[in-house]
Amino acid sequence: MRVLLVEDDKALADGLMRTLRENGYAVDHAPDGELALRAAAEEHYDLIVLDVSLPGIDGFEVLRQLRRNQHQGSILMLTARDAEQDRIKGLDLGADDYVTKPFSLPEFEARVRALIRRNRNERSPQLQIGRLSVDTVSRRACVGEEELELTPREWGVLEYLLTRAGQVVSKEQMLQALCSWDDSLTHNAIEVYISRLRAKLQSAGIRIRTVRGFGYVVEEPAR
Amino acid sequence: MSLKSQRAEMNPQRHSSLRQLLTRWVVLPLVMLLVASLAATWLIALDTANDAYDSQLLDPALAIANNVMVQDGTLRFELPPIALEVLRVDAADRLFFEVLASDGSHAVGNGRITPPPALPVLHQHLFYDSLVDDRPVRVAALRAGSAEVPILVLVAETYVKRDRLVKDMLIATGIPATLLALAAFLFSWFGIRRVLQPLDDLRDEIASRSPRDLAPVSEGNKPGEIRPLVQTLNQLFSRMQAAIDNQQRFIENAAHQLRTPIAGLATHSELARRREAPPELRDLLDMIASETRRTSHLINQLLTLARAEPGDLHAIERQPLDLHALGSQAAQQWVPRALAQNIDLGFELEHAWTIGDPLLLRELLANLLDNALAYGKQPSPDNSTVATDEGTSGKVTVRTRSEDELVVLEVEDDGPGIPEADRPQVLERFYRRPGTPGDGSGLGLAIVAEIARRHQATLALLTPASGRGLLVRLQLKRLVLADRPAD
Repeated sequence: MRVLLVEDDKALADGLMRTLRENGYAVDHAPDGELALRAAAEEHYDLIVLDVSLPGIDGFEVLRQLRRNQHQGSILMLTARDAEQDRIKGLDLGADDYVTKPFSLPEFEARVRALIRRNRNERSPQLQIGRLSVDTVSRRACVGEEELELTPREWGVLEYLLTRAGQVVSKEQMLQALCSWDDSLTHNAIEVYISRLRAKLQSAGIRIRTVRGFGYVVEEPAR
Repeated sequence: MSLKSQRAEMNPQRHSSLRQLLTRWVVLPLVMLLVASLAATWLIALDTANDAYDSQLLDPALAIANNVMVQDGTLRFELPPIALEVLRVDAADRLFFEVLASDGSHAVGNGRITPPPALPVLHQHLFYDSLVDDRPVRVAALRAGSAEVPILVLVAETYVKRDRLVKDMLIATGIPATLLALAAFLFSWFGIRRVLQPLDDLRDEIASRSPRDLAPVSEGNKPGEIRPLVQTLNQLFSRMQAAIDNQQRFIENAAHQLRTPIAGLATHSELARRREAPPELRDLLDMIASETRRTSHLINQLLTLARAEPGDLHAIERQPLDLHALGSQAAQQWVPRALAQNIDLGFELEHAWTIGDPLLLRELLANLLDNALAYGKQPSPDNSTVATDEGTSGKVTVRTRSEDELVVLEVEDDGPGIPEADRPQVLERFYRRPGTPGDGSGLGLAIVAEIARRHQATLALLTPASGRGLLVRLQLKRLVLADRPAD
């Protein structure tokens, strides 16, 4: 996994580079927009971490040019401004996510992981969370070497949750996404599937936690 | 509440000073004028009464003089009995007469009358006041007879009918004058109130504002005399607003400038904590990391506060929004922290449309959740290792709903709560209750209060039905639109 970090603040750039390297990514650093564009043209990056306020060409402009040049990787914006308009502008221009300074390191790492995983999912049907590996094409889920037996409905719920691991999903969202294959799906039915999945996933070290009155979240197992 | 009590305190003061002003400039002069005019009336009435009755008093004197004859050097007095009767009988007053010889000896008469201090010339008369039997009387003195044998005829009359006339005249002028004075007093009382009314209105207009609202006062319907005051006030407001804007801009710039280095500091301190280190160094690194978190939290809150304050810098956005969506967003953002803390963060969300600034309302909810997670009931340390989904000991609930004309946003925790007496204070900036755990800035609820104020929302700190914890309730105006998105 290759990551390009575009950040002009030396100290922050140094810290983020160390962090990304410790997470197992290959990291390049560009201190301004021009260098960033040149680097992105020559190499393939799975993720570009892009600061908004850069000397010379600013982050929004870099973003615009990257997307115009059909850059395929994910882009995570860093900004010291949190006005709603800035956020919307960044996302409109094609950023995938957005982190406001100052941020906590675990939050930054989680966003990076999520973007890398999303990027990978689009190209590969394999999902790996904790000891659970899932093939979304053949619809097989294994804990270690042991294959899980899942009904199609359970499979649907599991896939929906796993592709959003770490995110809180509401029951409404799940119903909307899943009712195409079963119109009679209800809140109660979802609760039943969740409790069955919990039992089956116990050995995989994956916890599906309930958010009271709202929905569920699959906790990413500690790394 | 404080506004009301302030105004209640102001009222008696204003009235007493108004009363003093009235007493000094209206009531006192009026009373003095009234007394003076009554005194003048009395003098004039007395003069008029004497003028009217003195000539009548001269008649009996002349009649007596005509009936006194001088024969052989002695006085002879022959008055027909009927004339004497007439003399004695008067409707109200008693009449006395006396004729004195030239040597001053009593010749005839029915009483002793003190002669005038200076005698009138022959055949002339004069009037003066005197006493008969200790009663005040009016006396007519007539010098009659001949040059050789002059006589002095004195006729005295008590003051009853003269006093009556004076009294009538005093009443006739005194009552209208008093009524006039009373009317003048009342008119000036109401007149002054009426004149001061625009000032009162102006005061009410300013008093009813939010303390931080510095928008200009409308000059529209103000009288010409008050307009300069309003203009001066507005100039002051705009200068203050400019100063506040500058200050806000400074805080915002400073916070922006601080964000990147703080992010760097946070990153490095976190990286350092992940390294192997001796326990003492580890403690120090933990402290650095926690202080960095606190600093970044404080900077974010200062920025939010600067943004929430009214001013030209940050116009509040007003757009339709659903509190349900706000709550869902909060779920995405806050559940991971609640799970990490083993606190049961739950949601009871109903659709509730209102008009507001989405960014500010999100900050408001974020501050309430931050407080609830930080100061609500914390899981006990032994509990946290065995906690299951339902076994968490702290419980925080976010609620949204519609109620008639209002929409409600609530955040409830089951922590120690805030004693009722401290509730107004916790809304103040940088106030932290003594003994509050954690490392908060004391800005969270101040931000909530400021954002509520910007939305003209009602903010209440309550005790939940369970009797423990804190329930923060925000009530906003409900948006009822025919074409709003379907619930």
